[in-house]
Amino acid sequence: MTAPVVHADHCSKWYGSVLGISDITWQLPGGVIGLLGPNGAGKSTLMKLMAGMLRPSRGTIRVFGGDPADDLAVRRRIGYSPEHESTYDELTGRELVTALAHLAGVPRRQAGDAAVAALEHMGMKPAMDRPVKGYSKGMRQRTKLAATLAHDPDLLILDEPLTGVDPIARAEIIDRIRGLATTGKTVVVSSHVLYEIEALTQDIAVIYRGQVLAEGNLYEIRKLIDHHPHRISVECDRPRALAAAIAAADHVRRVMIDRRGVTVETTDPDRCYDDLAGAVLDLGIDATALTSPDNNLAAVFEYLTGDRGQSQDAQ
Amino acid sequence: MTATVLTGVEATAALARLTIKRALRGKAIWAAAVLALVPLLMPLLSKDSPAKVWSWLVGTYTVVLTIAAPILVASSMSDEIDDRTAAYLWSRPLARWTIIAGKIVGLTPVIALTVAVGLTLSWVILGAGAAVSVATLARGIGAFTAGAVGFATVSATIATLAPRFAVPIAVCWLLLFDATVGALDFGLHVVTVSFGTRALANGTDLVSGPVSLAVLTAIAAALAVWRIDRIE
Repeated sequence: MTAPVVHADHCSKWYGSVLGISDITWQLPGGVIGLLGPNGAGKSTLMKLMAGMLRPSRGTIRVFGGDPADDLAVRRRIGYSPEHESTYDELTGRELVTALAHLAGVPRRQAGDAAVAALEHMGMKPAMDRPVKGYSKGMRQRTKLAATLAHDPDLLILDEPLTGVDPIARAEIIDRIRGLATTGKTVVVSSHVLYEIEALTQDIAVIYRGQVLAEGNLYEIRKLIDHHPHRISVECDRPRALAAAIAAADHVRRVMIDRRGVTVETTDPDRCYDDLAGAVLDLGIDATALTSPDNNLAAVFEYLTGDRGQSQDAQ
Repeated sequence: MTATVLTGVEATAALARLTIKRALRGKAIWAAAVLALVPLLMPLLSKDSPAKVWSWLVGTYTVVLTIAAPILVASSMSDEIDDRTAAYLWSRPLARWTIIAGKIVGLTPVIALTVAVGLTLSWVILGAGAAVSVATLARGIGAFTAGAVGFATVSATIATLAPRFAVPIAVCWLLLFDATVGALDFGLHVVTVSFGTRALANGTDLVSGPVSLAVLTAIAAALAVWRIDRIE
């Protein structure tokens, strides 16, 4: 059996009296994993611990079998992209990535070529000789990712790489990150948006209040989530007609009507989506939006923590 | 590509190059350059003897260092921490002391050069070698280079201790305490960088001056290294 890339053992981190992560025991065997959690859940803290930027207050974290905070050879194998978009704005994209590649251990003579290759991989070659201060958010993110890649690390830690970028850039970045997975690298990517993670990987760890609440295949997590009532909202011109059509279905627990549409609480989201679509078509209803408030991560975490609370009560 | 871990010297050199490149494209370096040229008014306007004006210049350039070093070094270090660009450095396989060393190695020559240019121009205005000897000029440039290292190190230390207000705190400390106490004819002056710098430049106190300068710089460097290892 191969050793895990990351192994956290009862790892906790406090910032003074503020808890970052709490007693996390977790292993990352490899591949692409999404860290999913709302803002302040502890994702960034866990990633900084993995990157060797922080030391645990208690417990240990090992990366490639070593301590990333103290072992520079371990840190050499890590590429970390921070959540914020601050960079050395006075530099051009090429200068920035070259400097950071050299600092990551690429020999000075090779750092320029490595930077250009990484920028090209991220689709930034045409703009690489412009100052970073003129870049859009999407360009900054891609430049940051190029800086993360340029020294050819084995583990990529990408903290919210899709934050603030426009939909086109988002699609491009997702594409590039998925491409990295095919090169055999281990990629840890965080987000507080479920569909962003879904677009990147099926393997996730759900982090909430400093703890790994659930981990595994996204499908498994979704099944766990789907055990709980799930809400689906439809904005439409005739909410009462739609409510009447759907109310009798056995999976529907509750139907709420307001001026803008209908919200259905269901125990079987997949069937509910089908039934709603069928009713809209059959009745000729003008539906303008279909959303699931439960895709909002906070609701998912409430479900999961509620589940944990119930199981603890049962014990 | 054969990436390895840079040695401390290699990392310091790489960080110094990055620091200089950024400084040359920023505004602080021009502020320091202008500041270093202000004392030129003294030899231009004064009717006192060249020796007396030179003595004033030594004191004035010591004060210039107390402002130029925070403007360049403390701001560079504090911006790194405050703007969170330090994350790019913290996450790379670098010993953290190299970040302090890179800032000091990169910016001290800039500070020393601006003062050396100002001092040399003053020397020329005063009548060059006929009024103030070349040896005195060389001693002054050497003293201010050593002083620049001390002031830069103290500024970097203050930036690691209080990144958010590093420049005003460093200026206040160096200008109000260090320069003032350093100018006093009193034993306490040995705890200031200004005293050592001035002693070297004037060729007086050639034991206590350099020793106090070296000790203070070493203490400041040790404190900065200790502190930067604990910044999260």
